[in-house]
Formats: sequence, C-alpha cells, structure tokens
Amino acid sequence: MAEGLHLHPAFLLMLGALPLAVLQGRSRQLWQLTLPLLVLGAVIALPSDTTIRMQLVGLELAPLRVDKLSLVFGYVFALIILIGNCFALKVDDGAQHVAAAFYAAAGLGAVFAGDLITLYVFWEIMMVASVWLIWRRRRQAAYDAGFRYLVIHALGGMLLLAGIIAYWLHTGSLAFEALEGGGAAFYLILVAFLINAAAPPLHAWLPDAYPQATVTGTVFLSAFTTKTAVYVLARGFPGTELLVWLGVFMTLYGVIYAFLVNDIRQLLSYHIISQVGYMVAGVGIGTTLAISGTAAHAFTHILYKALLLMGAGAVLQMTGRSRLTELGGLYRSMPVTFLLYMVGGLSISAFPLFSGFVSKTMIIEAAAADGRGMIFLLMTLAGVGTFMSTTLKLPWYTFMGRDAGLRPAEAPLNMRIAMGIAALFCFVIGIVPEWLYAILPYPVDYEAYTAGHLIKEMQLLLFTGLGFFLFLHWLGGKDKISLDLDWFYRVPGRQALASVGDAIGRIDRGARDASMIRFRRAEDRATHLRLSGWPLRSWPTGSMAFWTAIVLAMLLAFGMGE
Amino acid sequence: MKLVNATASVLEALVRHGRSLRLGMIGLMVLVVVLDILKPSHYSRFPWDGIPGFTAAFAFLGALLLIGVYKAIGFGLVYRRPDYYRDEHEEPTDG
Repeated sequence: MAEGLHLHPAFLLMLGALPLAVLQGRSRQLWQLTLPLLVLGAVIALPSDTTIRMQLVGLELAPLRVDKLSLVFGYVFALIILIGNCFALKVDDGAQHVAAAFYAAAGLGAVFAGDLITLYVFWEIMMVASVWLIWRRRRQAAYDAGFRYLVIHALGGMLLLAGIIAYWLHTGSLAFEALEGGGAAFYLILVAFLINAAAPPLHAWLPDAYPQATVTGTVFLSAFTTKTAVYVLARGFPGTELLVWLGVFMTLYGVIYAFLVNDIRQLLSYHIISQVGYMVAGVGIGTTLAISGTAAHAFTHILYKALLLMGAGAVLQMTGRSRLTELGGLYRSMPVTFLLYMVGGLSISAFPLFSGFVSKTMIIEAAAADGRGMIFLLMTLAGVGTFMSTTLKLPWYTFMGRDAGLRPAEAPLNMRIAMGIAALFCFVIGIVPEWLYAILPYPVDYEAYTAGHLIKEMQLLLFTGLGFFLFLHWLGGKDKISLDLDWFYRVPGRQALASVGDAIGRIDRGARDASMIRFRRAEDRATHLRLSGWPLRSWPTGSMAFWTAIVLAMLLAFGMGE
Repeated sequence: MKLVNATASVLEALVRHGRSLRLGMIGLMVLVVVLDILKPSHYSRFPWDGIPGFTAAFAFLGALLLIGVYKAIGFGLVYRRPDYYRDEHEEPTDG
C-alpha cells in the first residue's frame, strides 16, 4: 500500500502527453507549453526526503523517492522539457511530441525511482520512446541509425535486468542504493549504466544516432539518456575507482573525435561524451565535492548542450545543411542564433560568468583536492579541446570564416525564445552560482570566483585561442566521415550476420535436399515393388514351414510357451 | 526583426574592428600572465602550482598536441570518403 499520496511528475507527463496525439494547431501549442509548466510545478512541489513505498506481488517497490540527488536532476529535466517543447512548438508531428513527452517522463521516472524494478521499467520506456525521435526524421539513414541505437540499448536493458535479478538473488533487496563492489550483479548493472552513459567502447550509438534524429528530437535526446545514466552511476557507484580513469578517457576521446567530424550535430554529440566524462570521473572520485560537482555539471550541461544543439539545429532547419564544409558566414543572416550559440559555447568551455565555469571547475577541483595530479592535468587538457572545437572551430566555420553564400532567414521566434531561455539560465548560473549550489546533494565548500581561478582559467582559454588561430587554416572541416567503433557492427558485424544467415540457409537447403533424396528413393522402391508384383506373390510351402519353425523356436527361447 | 538587424549590425562592427580586437586579446594574454607572476599561487598541491604562466603554456602546448593527435588519427586511421558506409551497405545486393 502507498504510504502517502503525491503527484508523480512522470505519470502526470505521460497522461498529459496523450492529448498531443490528437490536438492540432493553437490548442496543441498551448498544451505543449502548459503541460511542461504543470510538470515543473509538480517537481517543485515534491516534498524532499520522501519515499513512497508499495507492495507488488511480494516485492517491496518505491516508485517515488525524493531526495536532494534526485531533485537536482528532476528540476533540470523539468526545465528542459519546457525549453524543448518551446523549441519544437511549430513542429506539426503529434507522434514526435508524444514520444518526446514519454521519453522525458521515463527520464523523470528513472531519477525518482527508489527501487531497481521501477528503474528498469522506466529505463526500457526511455529506450522505446527515444528511438522514435530518431525515426521521425523519416530518412533511410535515420531508420538505420535508430535500429542500431535500439539494438545496443536493448542489450543494455537485458544486462540491467540480469543484473537486477542477480542482485535480488544475492541480497534479497531491490532498493536502489549504492551497490557493494564485486560480483556479477555489480558489473552487469554497471555495464548497463555505462552503455547509456556512452562510455567507450560502448559509446558509438550516440554520435551515430543523435545527428540523424529530428532537429527538435536531438535536443531532448541530449538531455535525458546520458544524464539519467550519470544520475544512476552517482546513486549506485560512487567512489568506483574504475570510473575515474574511464571518465577522463571519455573527456579526451570526445574532444579528439569532435575535431575529426564534419557534421556540426555529430561534433556536438561527441562533446556529450566528453562532458559526461567529467561527470563519470566525478562519480569515480566519489567525495562529497565530486558528487556535488557531478550533479552541478549535469545540471549546467543539460542546459548549455541543449542550447548548442538548438543552435546547430536552427542552422540545419534554416539552411538544410549541417556540414562544416558546406557552411560559413552565417552570422550575417542568423546573428541572434550565433550569439545565443556562443553563450552555450562559452558555458561548455567554462568561461567565467557562464555556467560551465562554476560546475566543471568543481569536478576538477575535487580531483585536485583528492591529490590526483594526472587526472587534474588530463581534465584540463580536455578543457583545451572543448574550447577549441565547440567554441572556436564550430562557430568559426559555421557562422564566420569563409562565406558559403547562404542567406537563410533567422531562426523562427519560438526557436530563438527557447534558445534565449537556455542562454539566460547559462548566464544566471554563471554569475549567481549560489542558486545552483543550494540545490546540490551535499553542501558545497567551494568558491569558483577567486582571483587565482580566474587568472588560470583566462590563461587556459586565451592561450588555447592563440593555438587555434595560429593553425586556423589546418582546422577546417574535412569532407570525410570518421570511422568509430560502430564500424564493428556496421561492417564486420553485418558481414558476420550475413555469413551466419548464409550458413543457416545452406544447412536448411542441404537437409531438405537430403530428405527429398531419401523420399524419392523410397518412392522408387515402392514403385519397383509394385511393378515386380513381389508382395502379391504366393509363398512356397517350404518357406512357410521354415518361418513357423523360427517363430516357435523364439517362443520357446523366451519362455513364452509355458 | 529590428533586434535581428541590430544584432547583425553590432556583429558587422565587431568584424570591421577585428584588428583592434586582436590587439586587445594579445594585451589580455600578456595581462593574465603578468598577474600570475605578480600574484603568488593560492595552491601548492602539485609541483606546477607555483610556476607562473604554467596554465598558459600548458594550454598552448595542449592545443598543439591535440591538433597533432587528431590529424594523425584522422589521416592515419579513421578518415574515409563520405559514401563509405553507403558502398558497404550496397555490397551484398551488388554481389
């Protein structure tokens, strides 16, 4: 039985999303803005430190667990639902809006899940709903990428379920708290979470699928799957040493690949891996400062990454192009989009006065405070790459630089408003970080705005800029694609699948041919017997006497004659 | 529309004053290094904490390193022509 009644924001959003399938025009747009406001209100109204428990077929479930760690994710999820819907206001595609709402609701459900079964159910809803945001692009490349996305996440879901069953058998509990180290359950659940966090080598689904999603769908995709994974890692695996190095590897892997790719939305997708790397490393460090830094960075990242992808999406929407080699000089015709994009760029680069500066530096500071010099340096190096690729390379070759002769209209007003809201939050968090720090899981004893931090950060950014502009002519996009680990399931995996199919076909054909040959032989014998008349022939008396003697002998031998 | 035009005008003006902006940036770069020399480091957790301008040098060399690494990986390993996967997909039907 439920111990108390509270409005679960995930159920509110799921139920509220259903009318979006049938509403049209203004009424649909009005509901599209009202519903996220109701959800935001429902999240804000949730009482902190509350858990609703219920019994279901002998299992103790906790479908709603509200504490400071889940709330910080809940707040930013609710906020991005509003921003994303504002950005998608003019998209006339009910299925896409319903999918986005179910996806977001599943994300909310997952972060408020107090037990592993509830988490699993929302985890799977998230997978199924999100793939529609890719497929609704309605291009062959999107269908293919969506299918690959689905296969990888289905594998992750199976691992999660197997891990949950193993955990239950081992501990007798389904409560979703920090998991004890070692054992099959620990690693199965960890791998499932890492698939959704896009940790290499299980990451390729992200830069493969996100650039293929709809313009508005990518904004939602960037917010929920990886950040839900960060939340569950922070909840279940704080202080897992493996995550420190994996996270740092992600930060550098993401920035290196961000340099390599030509598609602006793919470039930003690789930066999701890079930024989630900071969070994964923060979870691995596991101190209160690191976990708070992770939560803070997830909060700021969702906003600035959505802003960056909205900027890139606006470019794609207005020009029909998303390759660096086909863009350039757009600042003249899309100046507001350019400026708002730059707010996101400065935020992700941890530029003072913007949100990334107060969250990313907290994780780096946590590494330093933990005495991890190499981690500190590598994270700083990844920051160099982030600034160069996201804030210098992408805008330079898209909005400045060579004029590609494109003169699109500025992005529609609803898109600019959505970008403006996200940019406003990026800026406000940057100048008043105390508001963000107040909602973090642990009290924060960290001051971002010291003279020392400011001087070092400005050195980092300005001298990175020097390196960039000195080698500007080397850094333009290349009209090529960059192979990643998805190659393994796109090429040899596909060929292996085809080989297995061929082998099964050959075995099937062989078995059928062999049985047909036997059947024909039997048929020939039957024909031969019929034509020869042998079964109808009369038998000689001697032969009959002989067989009668044999039968009698057998009866005697087996004692049947007694 | 007025806002869009005004923003475009401001950006055009900034582009026209690109040379001044560049000089301003160079001045700012000198300033942050000089300030680092004048102001003793607040931290002494790592050997490099007390070296003035360390972050500047690290950032510049790091930028060059990342550019070198990505070029090497790109041209040495992962770059393919844009229709690479399309061809791969077509192979089974062509064959």
